[in-house]
Amino acid sequence: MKKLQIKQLIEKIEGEAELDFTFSNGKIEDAKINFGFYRGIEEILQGKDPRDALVITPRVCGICNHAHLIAAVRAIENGYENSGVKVELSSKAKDIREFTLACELIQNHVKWLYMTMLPQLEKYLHQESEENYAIKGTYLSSIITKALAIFAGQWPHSSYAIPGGVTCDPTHLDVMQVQSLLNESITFFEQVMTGMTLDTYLEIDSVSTLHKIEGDFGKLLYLMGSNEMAEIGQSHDRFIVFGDSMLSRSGKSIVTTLSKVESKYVQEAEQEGTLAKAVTYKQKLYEVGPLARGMVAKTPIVKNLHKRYKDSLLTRVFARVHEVALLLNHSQRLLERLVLDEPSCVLDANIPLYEFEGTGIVEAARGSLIHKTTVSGGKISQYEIITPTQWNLSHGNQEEQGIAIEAMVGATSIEEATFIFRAFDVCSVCTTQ
Amino acid sequence: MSIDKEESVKKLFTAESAKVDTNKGDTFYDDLYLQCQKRIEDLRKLEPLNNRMDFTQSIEDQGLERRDFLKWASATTAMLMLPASFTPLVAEAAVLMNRVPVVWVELSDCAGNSEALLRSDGPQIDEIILDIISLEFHETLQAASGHQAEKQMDEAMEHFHGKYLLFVEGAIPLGMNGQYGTIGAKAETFVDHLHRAAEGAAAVVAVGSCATFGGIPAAAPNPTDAVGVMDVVKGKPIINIPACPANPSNMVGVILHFVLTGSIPELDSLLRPK
Repeated sequence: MKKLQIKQLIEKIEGEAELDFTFSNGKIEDAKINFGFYRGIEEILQGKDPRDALVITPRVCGICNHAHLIAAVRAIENGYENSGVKVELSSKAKDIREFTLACELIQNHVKWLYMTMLPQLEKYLHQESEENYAIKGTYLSSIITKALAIFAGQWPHSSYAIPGGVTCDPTHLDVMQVQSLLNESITFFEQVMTGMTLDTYLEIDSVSTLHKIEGDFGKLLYLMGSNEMAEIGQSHDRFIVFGDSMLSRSGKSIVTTLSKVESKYVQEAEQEGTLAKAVTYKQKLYEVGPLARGMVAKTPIVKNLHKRYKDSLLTRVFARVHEVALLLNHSQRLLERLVLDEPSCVLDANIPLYEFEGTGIVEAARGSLIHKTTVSGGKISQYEIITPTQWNLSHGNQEEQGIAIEAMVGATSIEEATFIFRAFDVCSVCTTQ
Repeated sequence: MSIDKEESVKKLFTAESAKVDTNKGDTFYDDLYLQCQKRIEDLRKLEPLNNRMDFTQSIEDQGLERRDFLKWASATTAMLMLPASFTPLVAEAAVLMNRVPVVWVELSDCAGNSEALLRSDGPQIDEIILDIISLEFHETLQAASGHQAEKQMDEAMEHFHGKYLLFVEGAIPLGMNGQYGTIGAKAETFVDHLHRAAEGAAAVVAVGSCATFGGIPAAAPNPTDAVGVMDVVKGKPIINIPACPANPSNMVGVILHFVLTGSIPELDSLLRPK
C-alpha cells in the first residue's frame, strides 16, 4: 500500500488555510486542517469594560462581523438578566437586529455562491465560462449591505447594537429606502439567480421539481447533479443548532431524530499543530451551518434532499443557497411589521453591575456562534468566542475524524477534496481569532 | 481623558503637517499639468496588464453614463486638491488605471477592508475602478489559489519589480519571532512576507486601522506584539489609509494620484494623505 502526503494551501476564503492530505491507494485517507494565524482577541478583551466587546469582537471577522456584534450584545444582556436586571427589548429593536443579521447572511451566502462556488466548480470541471461572476456577486451583496447600513450605520464593523436595544431610530423614509433595496435584491434573486419568482421558488419542496430552478443557481445544481456530486462529501450526519432564530429553533439532529441542546455541554480543546481550537458537544462532533438549520427546522426540500442524498456535497450546497430565499422572504415580513414608535433602547447607558456572567448565541452565516463573557470588578475577566468554523473544521478525536475531514475522505483528487472543503464556506480568521 | 492626553491629541491634529496648502500658484499647477500629461501619454503607450477590462466598456455594462463619469471625475479632482482644469486628466488617468500593477497582501486582519472594497453603497464608479485596476495578486479576490497563487505572486513581484503598488491589510505580529502569523506552504512569517513584498514595491499603502497603527490586534496587552506597516518597512514611501474599514474612495485616490503623477500624495505627520 502506497501512502502519499501532500500539502495544499487554500486561499479565496477569509484568511488562509493549509490542508495536509494523506493518500492511500489513490484515495484520501486523512487530512489535517491548519491555520497559521493568531491575534489573541480573547486575551485582548481581558481587563476591559464589558461593553468594549461590542467594538472589539466584530473585528474578529470581516464577513460575519455583524453576527459577532449581536452575539456580544446578547452575552451582556444575558449577563444582566442572570444578575436580576430585566432586559425586555422592544419588538422594534428585536426586529431591526434580526433584519440586519438577515442582510449579513444574505450577502455572505451570495458572495460564496458567486465568488467561490461557481468559479471554482467551473475550474474543477474544466468548463470555464466567460461569466463575470464577481460583478454579479458584488451587485447583490452591495445592495443588501446598504440596506443593513441604513439601520446599522456601516458595514463591516458596526457597533450599533447596545445592551437594551439599538442606537438607530429610523423614520418611515429610512424604512422605505430599505424596502426598495430589498425589492431590488429580490428582483436579482428572481431574474439572475433562479429565473423564477420568489413565491414560486418557495413552493419547491420535492427533489423532482428542483430542475425547474434556472439562472445561476440552476446552473450550479445542474453541474453538480450531472457530475455525481450528490454521492460525495458525506460526513457524520449529525447536526446541531444552538440559537433560536428566524431560520430554525435550537436543537440537534442525528440521522432523523431531533432533540434539545444546552450550550453548557459545549467544550473547547486545544489542538496540536494549529492555533484553532476544536469544539465538541458532550464529546461528540457535530456539523453546524445552513444544512444543520435546515435539518433541525425540518425544511421540506432540505429534508427531502437529505432523505435521498444524505449529507452530501449537493445537499450542503443547496441548503446554503436556499437560505437566501428564506431570508429574503422573512426580511419582507420583518419590514412590514416594524413598529417605529416604540423605543429603540430600553436600558440606561450605565447599569451599575460589576459581577456577571452571560452567554450570547447567534445563528451566523456558517452556523452557531457563541460568546461567553465573565465580568468581575466591572472588567472582563474571561471572554470565550466559539465560532461555527471551529465545529466544522476540527481535527476530530480518538473515535472519529472531524466533520470536514470526514467529508473529504474518499475523494480521489486534491481538487475534489478542496471543493468539498469550500462547501463549508471556510473562514480562517474566525476559527483562530 | 486626562488634560495631558487631551492636549497631545489636540496638538496632533492641529500640527503644521496636517495643514494643506490648496493654492500653490499658477506656475506650480502649470508645471504639474505638463508633467501629468506626459506621464499619461507614456502610460497610454503601454498595454493593459493581465487582460484587465476596458474601463469605458465596464461603465457602460453597469448602466452608467459618460455624464456620471465626468461628475465623478470632477469630484475626485477636488478630492485630490487639484484645480478644476485637471478634470480631463483625472478622467484620462482613471481609464489608464489598468496599466499600474497592484499587489495586495493580507496579514493579521479580518479581511474587512477587502470586504469594504467589494461592498460600498451600490455599483459606483469607485468600485468599478477597483474592478479594473490591475490587481496582480489578492489572495481573497483572485481566482488562483494554493501553489498556483504563490507562483502568481512571485511572478508579479519579479515582473513588475520597482513598479507595483503594494497594498497591505492587517497588522504584523512580531512576538515569538513572528510565528503568530505565517503564510504559504513554507510557513513564511508575516513579517518576512511583508519585507519580501515591500522590497520591489514602488510604494507601500497600509489600508485600515490594523495595517496603519496595529489596530485591534495591537490593543493592550498586545498578545502577539502586533505593529503597523510603518514600524516594519523602512526606506520605502509609505501611505497610511486608516479607519476601520478604510474608505474605498481613499484607496482609489491614492492609486489615481500615482497614475497621474508617478509619485505618492502629500502626507501628514502620521503618513496619511492630506
